[in-house]
Formats: sequence, structure tokens, C-alpha cells
Amino acid sequence: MTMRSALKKNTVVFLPALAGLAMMGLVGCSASGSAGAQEAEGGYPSKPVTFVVPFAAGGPSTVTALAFASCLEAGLGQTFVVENQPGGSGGLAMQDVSSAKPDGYTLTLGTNGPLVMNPMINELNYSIEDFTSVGVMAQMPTVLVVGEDSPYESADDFFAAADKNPGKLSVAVPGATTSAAIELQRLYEEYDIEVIAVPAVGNAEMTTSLLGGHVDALFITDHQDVQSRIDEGSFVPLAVSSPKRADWYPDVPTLAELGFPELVNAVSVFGVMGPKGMPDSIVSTLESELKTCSEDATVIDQIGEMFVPAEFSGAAALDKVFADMQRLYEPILGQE
Amino acid sequence: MDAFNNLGLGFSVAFEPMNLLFVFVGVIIGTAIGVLPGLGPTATIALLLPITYTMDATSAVIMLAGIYYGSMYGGTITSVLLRIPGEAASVVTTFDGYQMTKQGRAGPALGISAIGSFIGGTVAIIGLTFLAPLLAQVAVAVGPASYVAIMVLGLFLVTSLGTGSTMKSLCMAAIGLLLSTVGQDPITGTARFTFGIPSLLGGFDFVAIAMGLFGVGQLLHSLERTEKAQAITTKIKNIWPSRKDFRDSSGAIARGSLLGFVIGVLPGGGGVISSLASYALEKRRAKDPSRFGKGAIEGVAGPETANNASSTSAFIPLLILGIPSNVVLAMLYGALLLQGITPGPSLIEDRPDIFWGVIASMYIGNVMLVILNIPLIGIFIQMLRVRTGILATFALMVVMVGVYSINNNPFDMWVVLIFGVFGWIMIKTGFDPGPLVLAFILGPILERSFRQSMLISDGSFGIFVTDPISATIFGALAVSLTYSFISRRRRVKAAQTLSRVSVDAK
Repeated sequence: MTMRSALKKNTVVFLPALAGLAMMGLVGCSASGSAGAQEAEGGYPSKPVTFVVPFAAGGPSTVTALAFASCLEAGLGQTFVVENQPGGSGGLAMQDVSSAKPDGYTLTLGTNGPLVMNPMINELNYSIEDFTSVGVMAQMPTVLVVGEDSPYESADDFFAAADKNPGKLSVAVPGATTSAAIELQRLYEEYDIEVIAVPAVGNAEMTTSLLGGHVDALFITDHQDVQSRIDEGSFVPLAVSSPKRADWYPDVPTLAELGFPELVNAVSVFGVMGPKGMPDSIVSTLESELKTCSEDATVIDQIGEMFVPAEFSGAAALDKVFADMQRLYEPILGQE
Repeated sequence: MDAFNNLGLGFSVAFEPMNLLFVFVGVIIGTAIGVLPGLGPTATIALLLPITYTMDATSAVIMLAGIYYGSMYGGTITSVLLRIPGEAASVVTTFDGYQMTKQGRAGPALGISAIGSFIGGTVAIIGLTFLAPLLAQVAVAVGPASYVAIMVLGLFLVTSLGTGSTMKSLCMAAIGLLLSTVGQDPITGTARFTFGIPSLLGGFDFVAIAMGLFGVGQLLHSLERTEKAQAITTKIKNIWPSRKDFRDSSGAIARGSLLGFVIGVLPGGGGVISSLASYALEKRRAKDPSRFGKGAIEGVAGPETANNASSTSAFIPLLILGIPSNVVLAMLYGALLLQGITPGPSLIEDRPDIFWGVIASMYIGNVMLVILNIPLIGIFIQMLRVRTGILATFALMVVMVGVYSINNNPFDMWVVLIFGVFGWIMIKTGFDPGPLVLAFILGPILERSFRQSMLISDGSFGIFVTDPISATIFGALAVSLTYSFISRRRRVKAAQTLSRVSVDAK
């Protein structure tokens, strides 16, 4: 019911672009029901909220944003329009959002690459200080995986081989400005183990390169696609990057356990952020609704049970996550 | 046979009234957005993604797939009538398609495209039904080194396009490659040639460049001409392809179907490479290659067939391996994830209704498209009767809206306008934008794969020899280059002896 009312409003927003495209019939029959949700305190939100995703549509970020948007919509009684604004590794979207009015009607999906690392590498007019944190939607560790026929049966095998042949093993990473890439660099700088990081574009390209035997391993963001490969056996997980073992891979050691206690940062956190200076009342309205949504069965099902943290992290916790990243990466990447 | 049983299941799913409706809605939207320049399947599917939530998973994929292959039909129309390629794969169609329009043969050009698209699409679906698991292996076997070779081959083919001189084509291709380096370095992430403009960090958008150079450039150029001149060029002779047209294009359609099907499986540039390869093949096979670029119907039929076949076989890596091979398929992948389904090798067993239902819906969708498109040709051609001033204004407006819709960034609209002026200058000076645009598409894939290869091989070029696909392609290129070099030398020598003989005779 609530989903339908959301749908109706969505189409009001989308239709102008598609007017006359024979959409009327389709939309007309599925859109029924009325907006039946209560207004939040202080009147926010009283008009549609734009939720900017700094990547192209279709990836985990979009799936996460859409799942939460439809839940927030139901709870707050206003449309959350998910808008994909790819380009410049997310830099364009972040720049736009950072300069938007901090009235709660422009929000974005905040994550490490665009938010913390990109402004360090490139000249951009924003930094992490230009945003207000709201809360965490999802987080995904990075996993080191090899193919089923790989000679490396365990993480120890792999790192021993890497140690013996410096700069010989190739490991695909999801892009140059990702924590995965930086962690491999730190593996070299702090532990003197040198592997070749091969930046690829997204999980699909990485998957292809491992299945085709073009690289030795992947340091890949964990997601449903990776899990289904692990389940069917074509990928073998060797290590996870999170500080603690992942519940869903109880037998896979963390990098910290393997003797790299510093390497616990390649965890993708998808948070909700707004421009700097958002009023506290709006932040707390959103924060509590976000918490409700992170316990919603549909949302959890769409994003994947393991990726929605069982314990909700709000504004303060999210602030700390990015501030920590900033402190950690500054000496490695900072150029100013 | 097993495949027939499965296909039976698929058709029982696809023939459910709701699913039939969604195939129909999908192909209609697809055709419409294909026709509107600038608006493409990518932006449309992104807009519709939230709506697919509420739909049944199979219906959602059936509709989105319909939009995708439907847009391949529609994209041809503006390429042929207005010289505005709707998507990358249609760039090649502008070469001979627009020339045919100028000769009053827009009808046969569109007719043969629709028929070729139908045949190509159907051949690819049959291939998808029976050969999919086999071909899926091809998709993963192609690694960075092979990509380098395939992209070099693509660039090689680019220069054989059109009628312009090879030198001019090479110049344009070089500019296209240069333009493709603007933006973030694919390996280090640092900015290149962005001059502090944040919007350039993401590089130029292909659609903005293509729409500018082709679309706006052509519009500016057509506004220059007098009313009288326009009236002559838009005279329509006949609507239906003649028997001779069919005879001329039947081979091109057959070869295009096969080429498109096989090449479409490649992630990334599959669509463009397949239409390029088909064009080059037809030109090479032709008794009189000089007809190409001047309205040869094979130059329209082959590439159009190939791009439709490839848009269908592009589903193979997605449905069999769970690997989306282009942006549109990545969004289909996202739509399935939202439904709680992870496409992957187990999809056929876990959800045969989706797998076979979608395949069966493609048979139905293709039939719908050909039935829809053929009567529509007559109507689309009437577009040419509209006064250029009005048509150009309207087209420009749609282009601007479409380009904005891709990245939601007003900067792209400026790119269109600026490249539009360049496009106009290029027409005046006899340069063709085709090689530039195609090189621009191939460039980033070439660069990324090359640098990935160099990383993997530790800087050794040996990787291009040890990789079987790359070794084969580079070998074939070397042989073909040597051959053409030697035969030219011989021809020059023969000409010299001939002239000497004739001088002696005097």
C-alpha cells in the first residue's frame, strides 16, 4: 500500500520526461491508493526529497538507496527521488550536494571514495567537513578471493607466495580511488608485501578477470554477486578486511588475524549525508526513521541481511567513520 | 530435446497476459526513446528502475529487456533520416543511411533495417536458446590483453569507414582518442586535462559528443541550405525496398547476424565493434567498394542487423554468468537484485521461469517490433516533409533534454553545443565525425586494458603473444597490413612500367 502511494508520487516526478511514451497505461494500472502517512515533526518533509547517488544506476549503491528511499517514503510521507549522478568517481555529485541548501531536501549516499579519497587526490571544492552525517544504511567488507583452481588454498599460502615473489601476484581492485587499492598499498608500505593492484571498473569486470584467469586474486567489495559465486564454489574466500570476522564467513580469517593488524579499513560504508549545517531537528527525524528502516524486513531482504548492520549507527558514529578514514588516508594520499 | 521443453516453459510464462502486455509496453517505450535523439535506454531504464520494484520479477526483466532491444530498432530511424545516431552502434548506420535519405531512399533504408534487425535479433535469440552456455565461456576468456587487440582491430576498421580519405579518417580517429583521455586516469585516479573544471573529471560523455558532432552539426548545416535545395533532397521515391535491394542485402544480413551474435558476447564494446566489423566486411566483399558511403544498402543492412543481434547476445554473459556486459544490462542486473534475485550461473536452475521466460519474450518482442515498425516507416518518413527550421528546432530541444537526462549535469548541454559548432565546421571542410566518435568509444577501453595488461605482465609486451586471442588478431593484422603494402607497391610498379611502356611506344 505504502509502496504504491510512493509509486504514484514517483511517477508524477518521472512522467514529464517520459510523457507520451505510452507509459500512462502501465502506470495507471499499478498506481492506486493514497498517501496515507503522517507528517513528521516540524513539518519536515513537506515536499519531495532528492537523494543523490554518486554512481551510475544499477550497482549496490543504487540498490541500497532505492531500498531505503522507498522505506523512508513510507515512513515520512514524502517522495524520496533517487537520482543517479555519476561522473568524476562521484566527485560531481558530492560537489553539488555540498553546495545545496542544508534544508534536508537534498541528501546523498556518502561513501569513502567520493567523500574522503577523491577530494584528496583531485582538486575539488569540497571535503568531508562540508557534510552533515545522518546515519549508516549498509556496510560491506572487502574480501580477498581466488578462483577455485587457484594454487593458493589459504591466505597464508597466498601471502607467503606474495612475499617470495614481490610484485608478481596480480590482485584486481574495484578502482584506483578505493579503500581496497589503498589497503594493498599499505600492505606494501607497512608490511613489505608487494602485490600488483590492477584497478578494474566494478564487480562485473573483476569477476570476469578472475574467472578467465587473467589475475591471481580479487580484493573485491562483498556483495550478493560475490556471495553467490562463493556459494557455488567458483570463488574461494581467503580473508576479509573487516576488524572482526564476518558472521556469514565464520571460517575466513580477517587480515588483522593474519598478521596485518593495521589493515582493517577496507569496509565500504554507505551512509546518508546532507550538506553542512542541516538543522538538528531534521537530522534526528531522518536518523530515527533510518533506524526504523534498517530493521525493516523488506529493506534487509533487498540489500542482503549481512550488509545491514544489526546494530544501527547514527549520525555520531558515521561522523567518526569518515573522520577516521580522513586521518588515516591523509598522509598516504594528501597532496595539499 | 531439452531446450524445446524449456522453451515451452518460457513461452507459457511469456504468453501470460500481463507479461504479453509488458513486452508490448517495453518495445513501444524502446522504439519511442530510440527515435528521440539523445534519450537512450540507459536514462530510461534508470528512471523506471524504482517502478520495477512493484512488478513481478519476470515481468520487470521482460519489460526492461524490451526497452533495450526496442531502442536498437528506434535508434536507426534518426541515424538514417537526420544523421543523428541514437546510440553508439548506430554511428555506422549514418554513413550510408543518411546518403540514402538524400537520394530519396529513406524508405528502403529503414525497411531493410527493420527486416535486418528482425532477422539478426531472431538468429541471436535462437543462438541464445541453444548455444548460450558454450559462448558464455568466450566472455571470460577475453582478458585485458585480448581487449587491447580487439580495440586495435576496431580502430583499424574505423579508418575503413565512409568515403573520406584514409588520412582524414586517421586524423579524426586520433582526435577521438585524445578526447577520450580527458578525465580521471583509469589506473591512478588523478585528473587529466580537466583544467580545474570538475565536470570534466568524469570525461566527456559519448552521447554529448556524438549528438553535438552529428546531430547539432548536421542541423546547423541543413539550416544553411535554401528551402528549394531542401525540397529536392527530401523527395521520397519509394517506401518499400525493391527486389534488387533485397538481393543486395541478403548476404549482408546473413553475415551481420552471425558476426553480431558472436561479437555481442564481448563485454564493453560489443555493440559498436559488431556494427563496425559488419560494415568493414561488406565493404571488403563488395565488387565496387567505392559505392560505400554514398548510399550502399548493404552498408545499412549489415551493421543494423549486427547491432541487433549483438544486443540480444549481450544477455548471454548476464543470464549465464551473472556478468552484465554494458551499462544497460548492469541496470537490469540491479533490477533483479532489487527483487532479491542474484543473476549468476545458478539462475537457469533456480529460476527457469525468469531465464526461459525472458528468452521467449524476446521472440515475441521481435515479432511485435517488426509488425510495429514497418507501418511506422511511412509515418516517420513524413518527418522529412516538415520544414527544416521547425524540425531542427524540435530536434535540438529533444537532444538537449536527452543529453541532460544522462548524467543530470547541465555541463553536458554545453558540450553538445560546442561540439555542434565543430561538427558543422567538419561538414564544411569534408571531415567525417564517425571515426572521431568511434575512436572516442574505443579509446578508454584500449587504454584501460593496455595498462592493465602492462601491470599484469610487469611491463612485458610478451603478454600480447602469449594470449591466444591477442596473438591471433595481431598476427592477422600484420599479415593484412603487409599484404596491402606489397600489393600497393606492385600496383605502383605496374603503373610505372605501364607508363614507361606507353612512353616507349611513343
